[in-house]
Order: sequence, then C-alpha cells, then structure tokens
Amino acid sequence: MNPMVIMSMVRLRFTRLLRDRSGLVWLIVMPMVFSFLMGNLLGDWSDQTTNLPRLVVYARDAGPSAEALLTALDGNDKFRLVRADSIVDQESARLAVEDGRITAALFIPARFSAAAAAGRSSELKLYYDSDRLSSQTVRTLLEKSALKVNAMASARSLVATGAAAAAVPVDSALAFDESRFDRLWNEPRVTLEAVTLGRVAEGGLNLTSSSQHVGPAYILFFVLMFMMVSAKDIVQEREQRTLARLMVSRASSLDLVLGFFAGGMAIGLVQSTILLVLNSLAFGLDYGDSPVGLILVIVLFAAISSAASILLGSLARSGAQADGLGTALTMVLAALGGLWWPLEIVPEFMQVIGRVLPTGQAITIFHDMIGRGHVLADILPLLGGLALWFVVLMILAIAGLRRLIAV
Amino acid sequence: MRFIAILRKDLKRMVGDRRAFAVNLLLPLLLTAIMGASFGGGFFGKGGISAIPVALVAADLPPMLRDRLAEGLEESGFFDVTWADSLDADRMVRQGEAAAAVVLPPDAGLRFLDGADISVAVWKDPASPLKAGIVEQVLTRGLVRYQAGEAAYLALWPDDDWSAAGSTEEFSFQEFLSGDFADVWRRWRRADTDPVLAETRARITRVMDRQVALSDALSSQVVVVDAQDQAQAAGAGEADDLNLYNVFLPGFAVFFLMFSVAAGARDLHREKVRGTLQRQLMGPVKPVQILLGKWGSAALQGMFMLTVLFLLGATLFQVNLGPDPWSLLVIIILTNTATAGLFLLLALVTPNEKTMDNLSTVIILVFALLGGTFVPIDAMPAWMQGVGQVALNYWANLGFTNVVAKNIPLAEATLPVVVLGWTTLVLMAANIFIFRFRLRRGGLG
Repeated sequence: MNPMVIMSMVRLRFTRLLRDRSGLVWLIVMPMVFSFLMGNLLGDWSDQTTNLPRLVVYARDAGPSAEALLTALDGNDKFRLVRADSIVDQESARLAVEDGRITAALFIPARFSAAAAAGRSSELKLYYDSDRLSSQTVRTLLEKSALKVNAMASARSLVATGAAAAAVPVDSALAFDESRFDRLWNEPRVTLEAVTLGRVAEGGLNLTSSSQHVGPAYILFFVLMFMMVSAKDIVQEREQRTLARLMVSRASSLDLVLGFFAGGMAIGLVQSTILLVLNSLAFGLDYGDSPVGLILVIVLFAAISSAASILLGSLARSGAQADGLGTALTMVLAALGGLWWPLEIVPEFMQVIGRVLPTGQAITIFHDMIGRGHVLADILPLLGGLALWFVVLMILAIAGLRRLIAV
Repeated sequence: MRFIAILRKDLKRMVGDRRAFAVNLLLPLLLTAIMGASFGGGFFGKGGISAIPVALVAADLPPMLRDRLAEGLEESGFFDVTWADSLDADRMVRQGEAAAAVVLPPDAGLRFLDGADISVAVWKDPASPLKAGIVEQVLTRGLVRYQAGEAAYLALWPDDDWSAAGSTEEFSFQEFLSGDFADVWRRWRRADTDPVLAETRARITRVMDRQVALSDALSSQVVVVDAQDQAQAAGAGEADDLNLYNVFLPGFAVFFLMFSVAAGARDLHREKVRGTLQRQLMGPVKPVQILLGKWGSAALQGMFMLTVLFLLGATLFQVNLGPDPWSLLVIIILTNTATAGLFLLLALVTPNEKTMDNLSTVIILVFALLGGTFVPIDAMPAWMQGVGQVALNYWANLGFTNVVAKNIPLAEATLPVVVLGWTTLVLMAANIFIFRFRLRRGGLG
C-alpha cells in the first residue's frame, strides 16, 4: 500500500471538486435549500398560522351556536380554520380529506343555531383522517364542544317541572346549577396530563417539530446523492483511459481502490460537517448529547456512500447509466429508509424494510440521539448495522474495481 | 423532409442508451409502488398508521377494570396495549418500543370511588410525535365524555358529591365494593339488618338510578357529530374511488420525464464538442430545423415515456386514464413540448455539458419541490403555492391531477393547457432567438 498514491488521489478529487463550482451547489446549497423548503412544507420555520393544515368549514348557518362552535376551533396550533366562501358537496370535501389536501372538512347544516336553541337535534358532518394529528385534534375539539352543549341540554331535561317538581323523583333533580357545571367542566376532577419524555422535557427544545427530521434527513440524502452521481467519474476515468494510466504507474490495485474510497469518504465527511454546522446555525438544529455517536454515524454513512459509489462506478457501462442508476438507488433508498417522510407513519412491514437499509438506520440514529437523548451505548446496535453495510459494500466495491482494473 | 431526417437522427441518438431509458421508465413505477406501500392503496392494503404500541400502567386497578380498560383501548383500533410497571413504561417510551405510556396513579381505583382528583399521565415518545399525539387525542376524547357526564351529574345532584368538604359518610363506597363479587353480595344482603350498610346501599342505589337516568338523557343529543374517518374508510376499501396512485404516478412521471428530456437536450453540447453540430450547420439544412429537430426528438422521447408509464400504471395500479381518450394525451403532449423547450434553453445558455448537468438537476429538484411532486399543491402553504407557479411541474401536475385524479375533462379545466401551451411558444421563441444570436456571434462553432 502506497499512502502517497492514496493521498494524491484524494487531493486530485478535491481539486476537481473545487474547480467545478457548480458541484458546490450540489454539495452545500441544495441540501440547505431542501431543508428550508421541506421545513416550510412540513410546518416549521415560517408563519405558523398560514402553514398549518386546513380545517375547511362549510357553514350554512351563521347563528350564535355555530359561531360558538367555530370559536372553539379557532386559534389552534395544530390546524387552521378556513371558512369556505362557497358550499361544496360533501363528496368533494371527503375526497379532499382523502387525498390530503385538507386535514378535515366540517359541514354545519342550515338552521343549526335555531335547532340548538329549541333543543332539537341537528347533525354536524365531519370528514377527518385518523392518521393525521391535526385531524384528530379537530375531532377532539369538535366533540368537546358538542359534548358540552349535549351534557347541559341532557341535564336540563332531568330537572323536574310541573307536578313532578312537588315531589322530585330520585332520577330527577330540583335544578340544574349551570355555574357549578361550568366550574366542573373547566376544572374537571379526572384530568389528562401529557408530557414528552426524552430531551425535550429538560432542554425546552422543539424536538417534536419536523425540522428535527428534515435537517438530518437531507444531510444524509445529499451525501448519498453526491457520492452516487460521482460514480460516473470512475466510468469517465475508464473511458478517458486515465484509469489505465494510473494502473501503469506505481499504484497497486489496492492503492487505487483505497484512493477512490478515501477521496469519496473525505468529500462526504467535509460535506456532512459543513451541513451539520449550517443546519445548526441557520435552523437551530440540535444533534443530541453524544458527539461520539454523531461522529460515528457520519463517518460510517460517508464510508457506505463512498463504497457504494465505487461499486456502482465499476458496474456501470456508461456515464448515463451510472447517473441514472445512482439517482435511482438514492431515491429508492431515501424513500424506503425514511428520509422523505418519518418511518413512523408507514405500515409495519415498510418500517421493517426501512430499518434494514443504511438510510433507515442512519436516520433512526439521528432521531434517537436528538429526541430520545440516546448515547453511544444505546445506538451501538444501529451503528453495528451500518458497519455491516459498509463491510459488505466495501468487499463488493473492491471486487468490482479489481475486476475492472484486471480487464 | 430534412427536418424529419434530423428528428429521426436525434431520436435514434437519444434512445441509444436503452439502460438509461429503462431506468427513467422503471424508477417512477418503483417509487410509485413504494409510495403506495407506504400510504396505502391497491394490493398493498391499508397504509398509514398501524396499531400504535402503548404501554399501560394501572397496577392498582381491580382486574375487571384493568381488562375493561385494555379492551376499550384495543377496540378503538388504534392501540396495541402492553401492561407494564412505571419503570418499564418509562424505558419502553424512551427506547421507542412504545409511542406512549398511559399511567394511572397508584391508587387510581380508590381515588375514583372516593371522588378525589385523579391525574392520568400520558408519557410521549419525542421521536414519535405523530403516534404519541394521536394517543393523547384519542384518550382526551374518551376522558372528556366522562368529564361531561360528571359535571352534568354534580350540577344536577350536588349532594352526591362525596368528595366535598363535610361529607360524613360512615361507610364509604370503596369499603362497600371492596373484595370479590361474593364479598360485595354478602354486604348487600347484610344491609337488610345493618343500618350503616343499609344507608350505603340506598345511596349506591340512588346514585345508580341517577346515573342511568343521566345516561339515557345523554343518549339523545342536541348536537350530533358524525365523524367519518377517511383513513379507516380507505383501509377498509370503502372509499372505492380512492386510488392514491392517481396522484403519485403523474407526479413522479413528470419528475423523471424532466431527467430524461434534460438528457436529450444535453445532446446539443455533445454534438458541439464532437463537431457534428458544425457539420450539420454547413449542410443544406436550415439552422432552425436543427434546433427544432433537437426539441422535437426530446419531446417525442418524453411523450413515449409518459405514454408507456401511464399504460403500465393503468395495468399495474389501476391508474385512471382520464374521462376521455384525448384529455390525457393533450396534457402529455404539452408537458413534453414545454419541458423540451425549457431544457433546450438551458442547453443554449450553459457553457458546457457538465454545467448544464448540474444546473438541470438543481432545476428539476427545486421544481419538483415547489411544483407539487413531493407534497400535493393544495397542501402547501399559500406563499409556496404562489412561488410554485413558476415551476413547470406545477402546471403539469395540475393538468394531470385534473384529468387523472379528478377525472375532469380538459374542456372544463383549461388553465394548465393554456399555461403549458404559452410556455412552449415563449420558450421556443426564446430558443430560436438565442440559437440565431449565438450562430451569428460564432458561439456554436
């Protein structure tokens, strides 16, 4: 093994990278743009009130009961109440909820307030999606409002009147004490107290926000993407005969493999470090309490990406093929591994597939460190999984590149 | 005829790399399948949130109540309940084995019967905000029903509030109801002779009569909330018109179409480097015909790709091909003519293939993000919907959504057609102008 050759190849890789300024866009600018835009799309880093999922209300009544109902739904931090200026049919609203365009649709019937005042029953129609937290919150608040009205009306119906009031039967009451009801409603005896465990409780961090997923996810995505589209460099080296020139020099095949690998890995490490720092400075991202864990996951992921890049470069027959396959693999690994959306929202079998992949393991480590405050000992199994991926890919990459050199 | 010859030549060059072409065809299908498996639909069954693992801590509850509580939580269809002690529950939530833990206080059963305050805790996993949030919401809804009933009861019969100061019960509810069924029955019978027990029994009877009366009254609601869960409906196959592939496939198809068309437009740089462009310019063909040949071949390649994709999508995922035969075809054609125009412009203004390569990928990704490939346009914040309108994907996705997802005939939703058509014309006018300008300045030599 000749360290000078390896270092020369690393230096050459950096020189090429710095010479091609447009490559820097890929390396740094695009990941930050994606973090910002996806953070906005998912509800962070922008005006909360305009970005929230929409509850669209189609009201055919504007009376006091309808207004009271809507007031209870207004100003929530999980969704935004939008009063539609025209009434659509329920089927269109149902479809809008189904395909995720709105979080819920509420239909208030005509003469709702009049019916409520007269104690007549009327039906509110709510289309919601139980897989969305904003939608669940809408249902909770709506049911709570309705329950209050129903409980008061029901209770009043048990107050004995007329002849019955003279000798109140056991299942009737003398009166309904509304002020007592209000007090008990506002200060119930049995309460629910929700707390988030992990680092959020102690640190006051906004860990339940999507930014904590988006930031690390797009660091991983673009490190992998850059490496995979760099696979065509090896194809070009072969096509331009520069690989053949390297082979007739003092470099052994091992030197070449290690040179290509170290070059890719060094770029991946520099890219990751810059992005980690920029995300931290620009978006206030926090990476947990385990710097060693953070370093290890970044090193292992850069190593996996570099090895995968060499393997792809040695298998592809043309630059276009390497480009296409590199993009394809990156997208598939990102989608399956939970870089585009958190794995918690997909079915169990998709979660299992995701957690087997290096992308899934790496983003889970980030989630564990950021949210759950996991330290090195806790994330060791996942780091072991990444190490295994690296070993397998490196063996295949060495075999592929040696075969290429031997041809 | 010369134009046709150039078109045929360029088309042959572009489809020469069949593997790259196959990737552009297969990848949208693969990603559509992944989206389908992730969010439900077709043969993948229900997507989205599966049973949420919840740890339940309620050691002091009587076994009958514990079983009822667990059954109630599991019957809701949202939860997969595991009994745990508080230490275990804490560990499970922190390790991500449970999305949340529901923790009843140590003496919850007794406190409940005594009318004392009870605080039920929900411990949430910070790395699972969605599932933990759903647990909190479902529990809140369950609890608020109890709170409403209790508030109504005590507002009607304040004397029954035995938690109030000054309550002088000699024999409490919990004492009467303690032990197993046989113990309670014995006390019930002894109440015939024991005045203290008799008073408690009478009180239990009175409370139960009132509870039943209130329960009956509560069943007739003034405001009925008919909550229809679209996620459950989709999972049960009740929403038979819901096919998420109608949304996913066009989005990814347009996304990868852009890669394919950009690769086609990049051929202009390759021809320039190899000197074949200069040779063509010296021939009897008009320069504009060369440009139109490049544009036409890139557009035709994309049209072929999209047509095959939609046909495969219809076969594999039952993707809707629109309300009539020509609506989808028109959107496919216009999407391709505009896309080819855009990337030809990029080829003309970039100095070399590498720069175009990087710039086109940046444009494709940003357009995909703003144009609704990853997130439905309607679900975007208002400002992004405004900015997104500069992206070609936005109008293409809107056109495909109208025709494929909403089954609206083109005649009823013409805006995307008009925008894509005008975009094609403007871009091609700009391309011809820049091509001639560079030709005059010797920039293509």
